[in-house]
Amino acid sequence: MNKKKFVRAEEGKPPGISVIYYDTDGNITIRYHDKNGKIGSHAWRNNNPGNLVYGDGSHAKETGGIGKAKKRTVFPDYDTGKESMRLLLKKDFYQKLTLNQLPRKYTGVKPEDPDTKEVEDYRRTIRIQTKFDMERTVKSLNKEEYEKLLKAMETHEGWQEGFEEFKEVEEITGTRVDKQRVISEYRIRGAKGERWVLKDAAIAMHGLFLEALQN
Amino acid sequence: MRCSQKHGKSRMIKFFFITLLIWSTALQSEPTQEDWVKAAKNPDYFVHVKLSGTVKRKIFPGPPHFLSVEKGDWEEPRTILEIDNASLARLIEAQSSITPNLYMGEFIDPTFKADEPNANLVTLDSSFSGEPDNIEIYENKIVTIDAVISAQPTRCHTPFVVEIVKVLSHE
Repeated sequence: MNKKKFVRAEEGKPPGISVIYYDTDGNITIRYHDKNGKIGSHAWRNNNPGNLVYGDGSHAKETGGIGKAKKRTVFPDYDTGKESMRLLLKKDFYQKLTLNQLPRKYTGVKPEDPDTKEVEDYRRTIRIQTKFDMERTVKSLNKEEYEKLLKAMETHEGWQEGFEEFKEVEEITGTRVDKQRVISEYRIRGAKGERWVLKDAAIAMHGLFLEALQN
Repeated sequence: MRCSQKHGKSRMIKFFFITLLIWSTALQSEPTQEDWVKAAKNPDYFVHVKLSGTVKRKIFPGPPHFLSVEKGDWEEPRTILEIDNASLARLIEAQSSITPNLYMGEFIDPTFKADEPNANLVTLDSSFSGEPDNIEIYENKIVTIDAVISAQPTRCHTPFVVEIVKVLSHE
C-alpha cells in the first residue's frame, strides 16, 4: 500500500514519548521512543534531523511543519525537516558564526558561559566529519561544504530509527437496526473492503484504537 | 429589563477591555533607541515585561532523546527564572501580543494552564545589551527583572525565553 502524505502531527501520551501522524485519509502512524526493543531518537520521531524548536511556530510553518512534539517541530518527512534546518542556518545570525562558534549558538549556550561537554563534542563531530578549518564561517561554505556541515550536525543530533506502527482508520458506512429500532450492527469499510460487525465488537474495536493512541 | 441588563453587560465588557489596555500599557514600556536597533534584526524585541521569581540553574536533557541525562542524553545547563503566577500572566499577555494567532492557540491554554509542564520556568537567554548579565550571582534569590521576549533559540527547553534588560530589585 502506498504511504499517504502526513498532514498533521501531535504528541502521544505521555507527552513527548511518541508522535502521532495523521495522513490525508485520517489514518494514523505512530513513531515510538521505546517499543518492541527499538529506540527511536527525537529527531527521527519528529522527522526533524536538526531538532529544531517549534518556538512561536513561524519558521516551522514557513518551512512545512505539521505540528509539534516536546517543543520541537514535527515535519511530514525527513526531506522537509532537513530543508527547514538548511533554511534556518542560512539566517544571518548563524551565517556570520565560525564553525567553532556555531555549536554554542545552536545549543543555546550564553556568551558568558563556558563551553558545555555537548559543545565540545559537537565541534569534534563537525571537525572530524567535515575536515574543515573550524575558523571558517558558515557563510564561507560552498553548497557542497554546507551540506557536509548539515550532515555532521545531524550526526550529533542523533537520527536513530525506532518502532513505527500504522493504524488504518475504518469508516462506518451503514447500520442495521433490530426490531426495537436500536442499532445492532455496523457496516465498516477498510482497506480489505466492507464488512458487517456486531455493535459490541465495533465498540470494542474503537476502544482498542483509542487505547493505542494513548501509548 | 432585558435591555438594561444587556446594556450593563456591554458596559462591563467595555470596562474590562479599557482596564486590560491600561494594565498592559503600564507593564510594557515604550520602545527605546536600543529596541529599535535590535528590532531591525528581530521584530520580537519590542515587548518588555516585568517578571518576578527565583533564579535557578537547571540541567535539561538534550539530544538524542531529550528525556534523561542519566540515560545518555547530553546535558544542557540553563539559567532559569521560576516566576510567580502574576508574572506568568503578564508573560503570556506579552507573548501573545507578539504572535497573536499562533501562540495563544497552540502553546498556552487561555486559562493560563500551559499545555506543557513547568510554564513558569523561563529561560534567561543572553542579555539584551549583549553584555554579560551576571544573573547567576542571584542564584536561589528572588529578583524582579525588566525583560524582553526573546526569539526562541534552536535548543529551547521551556515554553518561554526572555532576555534581561535590567535587574530592577533583588533579595
